[in-house]
Amino acid sequence: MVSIRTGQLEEHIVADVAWGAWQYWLWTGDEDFLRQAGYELLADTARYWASRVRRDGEGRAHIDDVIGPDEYHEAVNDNAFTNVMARWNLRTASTALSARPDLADDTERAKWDDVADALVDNYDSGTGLYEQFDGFFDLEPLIIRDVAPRRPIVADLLLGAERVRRAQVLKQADVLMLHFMVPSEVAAGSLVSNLQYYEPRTAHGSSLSPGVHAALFARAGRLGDAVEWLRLASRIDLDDVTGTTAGGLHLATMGGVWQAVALGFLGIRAEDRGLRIDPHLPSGWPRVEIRLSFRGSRIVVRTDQSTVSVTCDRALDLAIREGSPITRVDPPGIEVRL
Amino acid sequence: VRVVAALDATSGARAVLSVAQAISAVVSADVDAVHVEETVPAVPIADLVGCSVRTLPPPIESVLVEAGRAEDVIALVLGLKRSDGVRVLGRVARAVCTRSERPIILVPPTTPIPFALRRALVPVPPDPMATTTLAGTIRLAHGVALEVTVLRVGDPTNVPLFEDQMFHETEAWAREFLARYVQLPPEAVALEFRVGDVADEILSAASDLGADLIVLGWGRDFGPRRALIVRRVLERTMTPVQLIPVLP
Repeated sequence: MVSIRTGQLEEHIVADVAWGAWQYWLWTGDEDFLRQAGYELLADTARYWASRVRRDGEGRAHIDDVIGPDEYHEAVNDNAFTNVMARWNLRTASTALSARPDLADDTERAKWDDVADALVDNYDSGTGLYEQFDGFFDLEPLIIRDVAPRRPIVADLLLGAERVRRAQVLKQADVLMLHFMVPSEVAAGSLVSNLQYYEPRTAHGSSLSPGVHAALFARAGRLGDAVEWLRLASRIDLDDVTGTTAGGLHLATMGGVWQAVALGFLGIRAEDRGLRIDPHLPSGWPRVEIRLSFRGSRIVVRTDQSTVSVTCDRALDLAIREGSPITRVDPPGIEVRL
Repeated sequence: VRVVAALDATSGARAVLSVAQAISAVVSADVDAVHVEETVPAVPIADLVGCSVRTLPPPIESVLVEAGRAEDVIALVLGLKRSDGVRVLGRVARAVCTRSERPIILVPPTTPIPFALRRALVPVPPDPMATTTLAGTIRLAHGVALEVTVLRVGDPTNVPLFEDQMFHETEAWAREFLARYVQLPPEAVALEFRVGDVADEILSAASDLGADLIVLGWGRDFGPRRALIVRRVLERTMTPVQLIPVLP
């Protein structure tokens, strides 16, 4: 009998649900949703994290006994993804609920901010690395990229679950999911160092892993690697690479392929103030076009090697490229040289 | 129906007889203990094993193959020998295995006596046709109330790319496998999945699971580069092995 503990210990899902709800609001601007469910959801999830942490003698907050997205390592303490997502959850709830004192008063929101600031995130500014969880760097330094006959591969079947538990082998993105989901919550510039460290240690044993890594490689400018992982993700069912396509399509993987193109190669991101587009097109791609809906505006983004054009049917708050300011764009849209 | 126990003048004869008796009890058969007398043994075989034994004239291989061809014989039980510390398939066992169309049970001399048959381990090959052949044995074992574990060993170079939900995928695969090849409900047999060297994993699974019998399909061919897994299992097994002829 194999005990499946993800259902009990994969608590980051609490923050993931809050993040999903917040993303929905960012993309749609659906105030009714916030009023009817969103604010309450943010408040209750923040309350959960505030009640879940353990304070040490120096006042730092820890979250013990969890499973991160990696899933090969169970019952770990201070999983960086869980802690940082909890921190994001607490801070977002505190900010968003300033308009709803009936749901969370100033005292409670101040407590959330305090817990968020106290949460350890395992970041080492010297190396630029987040330690996946407390003790991860002490595990057997096994580079699955170098020892497996190929990747993706189900590493716990190849090496045995016990060795995988004792080694620096990941099933799928863990720390790197922070860079994918909440880039504003991680140290600036830390994507490249963490991608370089964690990707070779990743078995990609989940069909969701290749798409996320394609997006991250694209954002990091490693476009050859990005295309390689995108190709694999996009062909899982076309080539029936798992031998299970007859039993059902990998719909979440398909969603990951869309995300890799939209959020990775085109670098599209919904921010509080508007939409940001930061394309990274591989040299072999003449152009990419994608259609979106953002806060009621129907948008077509077209990009080639030298320009980005955005058409919209309603006014749109938009920025092209990382770091550039968000400005109002009126229909029919704009074209920007890269 | 009969189970033929081929006894020689070694101490392993008692283990062979005990295994034959256990199998006969499970399938409601009689034990036919036979000895082919190439030389007169120092101790009569009947005295050695404590039961009556039919003595047959040589040549031994032909006699045993012929004995196995009788319509009422459902299996032959033979002993595995040791030579210089390495288990070998003896001349007689090798000849009988390759020429007999009946299942052969090969018994290591270290098999505990009295032998009890409760759990059978059935490693299945990746070839679905071979699995189909073994399905009859799996159903038979299940039908006589043996605990059956079907073992599937993955080659390290053939490990799946993805396993999103191990528990659900394993269960789905098991249901599909049992429904398609064995025609038994999923609760009828246990499934064990391992990855590694096939012979090593068969032997370790037999030990870990306390199997009393390992059931292997094979092509009745000990020629060069043939039956490599069967040979390696027979060289090292501490558990009786039943070889089921699988048609090519």
